[in-house]
Amino acid sequence: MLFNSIDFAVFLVVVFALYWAIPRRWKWQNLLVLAASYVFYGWWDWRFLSLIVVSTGIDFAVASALGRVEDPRRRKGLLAVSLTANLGLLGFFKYYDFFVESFTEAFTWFGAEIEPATLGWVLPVGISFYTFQTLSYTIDVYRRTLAPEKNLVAFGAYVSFFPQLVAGPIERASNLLPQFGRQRTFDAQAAADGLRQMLWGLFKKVVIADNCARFADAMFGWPHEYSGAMLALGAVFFALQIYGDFSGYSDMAIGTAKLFGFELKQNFAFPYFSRDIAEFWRRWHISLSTWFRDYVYIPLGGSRVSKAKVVRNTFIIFLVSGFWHGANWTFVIWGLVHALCFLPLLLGGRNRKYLGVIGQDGFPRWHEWLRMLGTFVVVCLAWVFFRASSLGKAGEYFDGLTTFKEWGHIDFSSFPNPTATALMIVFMVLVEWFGRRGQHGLQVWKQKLPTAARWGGYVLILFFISMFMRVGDITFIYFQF
Amino acid sequence: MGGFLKRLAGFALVALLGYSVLLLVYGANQPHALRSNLKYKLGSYGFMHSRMQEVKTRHDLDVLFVGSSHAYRGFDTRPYTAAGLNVFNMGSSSQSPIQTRMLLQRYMDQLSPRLVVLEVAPEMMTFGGQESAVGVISNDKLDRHVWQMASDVDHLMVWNTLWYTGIRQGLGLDDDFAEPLTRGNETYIPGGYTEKALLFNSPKSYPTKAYTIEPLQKQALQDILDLCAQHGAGVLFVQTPLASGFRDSFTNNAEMDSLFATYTTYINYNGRLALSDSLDFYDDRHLNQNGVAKLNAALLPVVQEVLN
Repeated sequence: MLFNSIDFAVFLVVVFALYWAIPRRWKWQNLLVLAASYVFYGWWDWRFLSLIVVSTGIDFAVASALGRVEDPRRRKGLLAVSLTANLGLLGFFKYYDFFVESFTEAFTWFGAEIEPATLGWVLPVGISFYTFQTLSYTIDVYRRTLAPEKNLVAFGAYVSFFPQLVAGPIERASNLLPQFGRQRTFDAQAAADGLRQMLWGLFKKVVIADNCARFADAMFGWPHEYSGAMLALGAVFFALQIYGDFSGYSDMAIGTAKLFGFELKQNFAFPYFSRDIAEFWRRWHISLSTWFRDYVYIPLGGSRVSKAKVVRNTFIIFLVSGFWHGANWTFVIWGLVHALCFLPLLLGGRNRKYLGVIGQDGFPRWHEWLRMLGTFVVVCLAWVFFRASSLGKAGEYFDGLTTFKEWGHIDFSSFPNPTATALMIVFMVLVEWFGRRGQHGLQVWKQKLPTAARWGGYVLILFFISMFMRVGDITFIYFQF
Repeated sequence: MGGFLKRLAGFALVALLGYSVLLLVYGANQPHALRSNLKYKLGSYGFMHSRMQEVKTRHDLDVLFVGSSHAYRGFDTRPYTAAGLNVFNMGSSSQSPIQTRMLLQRYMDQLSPRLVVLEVAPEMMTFGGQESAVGVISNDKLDRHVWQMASDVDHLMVWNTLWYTGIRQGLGLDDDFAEPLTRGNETYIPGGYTEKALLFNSPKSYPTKAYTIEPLQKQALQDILDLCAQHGAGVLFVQTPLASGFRDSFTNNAEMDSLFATYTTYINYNGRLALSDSLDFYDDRHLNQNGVAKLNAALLPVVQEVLN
């Protein structure tokens, strides 16, 4: 069930009505959320529901046991059970074929003939997200920073909470789980902001991401057919596609959660307005980068160890982050590129130079513009590895980018609707720029615009969606991760 | 909660009005460079507006031709009229069975044809039917049959065009519209046929592919047969010729022939007529006037025989 589908609209209205028709009975509301989440997930493939159920059961049982056991060795053993089960499922479904194929290729390179025993199974939607979510719970209970949840329904609802189940944000148990353990009251202001955020997320997905995808798909599919300038624009189109797609999903997820009285963490904070890579990573997929920071980087010693270990830790976190996105060397290289850009800032003590938003106190200065542009260019070049289907394809793309014969030839005549796409991109950038101090693009409208202007703006966005959305069953990129 | 829902309802009302105003302004001034989910095609390809105006004046037909551009550019009504038959061609661009069904639902009572000749283009069986739906919606009155067709096609472009047409018709903005009967090298012939100045074809090559049938189109074909049976009209399925290179690029032509033949009497004129891909077509899908003459010379006796 996609957020941008009629099915979901009907589902949401029904669940919303039922949910708030159960006043002052949060335990029943939890049960409804759990049932609705399983229906939501089962809409794709009910068979994979069993994975969520297994993951929920194991982590609930492990955490309950951790609450009773004091012996450090037994506690470690219990944590190992959770890690093995969750990472085992993830590894099996997501990485098994990749490792088999990689080993086969390696042996073939040495002259051996091996028939790869791959499974060719479909990746269960959202497995990377809910696995990390449940892991955070078990680890927090192990570290005694969180008490084990006693209510299985509340815990099940936390693991499978439908707004963010399949593509995040990856919610920490310490933030979301307590919200399942208390009375939720309907907050009209929060609900209105939720609808506002959903509207903006929908626009970014169906207008920006899906239209940019046409250009990016063509250029990444057949790079040799386009000039260098077209390929440069292709990388920009993909940058906008993945941002619109993923941040759009996050906005819709956070907005939906607000309708039910839940507060999820911000997942994107206008990352393309960053002035260096460090700032970019504080603003891009925040729930994942902070997860890796808290559960991988800091346990490894973080930045408070020798320089050699800082370098090691940085490479580990970026490479693992790349690998989390998919079983392909392209993602690993993407992580590596970011690590190489991040390390000089970290080692030079400049990684926390830009903590506020650009132009916090007024119009940005010229060097900030230049830094923002430079960061965007680096990010776009790194996206080439992320988007390319193989390292060979990425090589072809870079080859085209640096072939200077007729480099500047730009021709969009074979593409549908380049003018409308360009205009919608400009609109999105302007809205996000003026809204960059908020949690999402439209949040500041509430504070700065009178009702009439605000409502006019919403109608205009609805109109843009209706006129320029790309029609069809177009899924979200991050469903594959 | 009550206040929130009231405010939401208020916004929904404002959004409905605002959206309608934006639609009207945008639709009236739609820049060519901005392709969007609105396609208002009043008096567009193939003189659909003129055809829809004329059909309202016709009654008690012997033969009604329906189908895509192959129909309104292929079934020249003049030889049939000369043979003493009362005929009308209600084809429209990319008309798929879903639109044919809607048009028949609307006009069968009035036209009461003895025979319906349905041009069955395999390609139309593969479409969702959006293109034709917006052509039909833009050029005729809106009624419950149009709503049914729009819900069958269920495409944002169709819903927007329906809404926009409704606003325009409600405000009477198109009441004075008159479509010129000659546009470029095309002329509307009373009776529904569109004649194109004689042009010749440069055949192209195509990659091989197969038709993939839309289930809704199959259902619509069956509904058409049922509708005609209810009105006592005979039905003849006809596939008009395609340039051989284009036709042969599809790997499942025989399967499509078998499918059409399961419904009713079906004649595929591909291979039955001595046609040149260059001299009897103006493109790989459409006959030129030479080819049209050959097709109708062959079809007229068949029609006469069925009617007798």
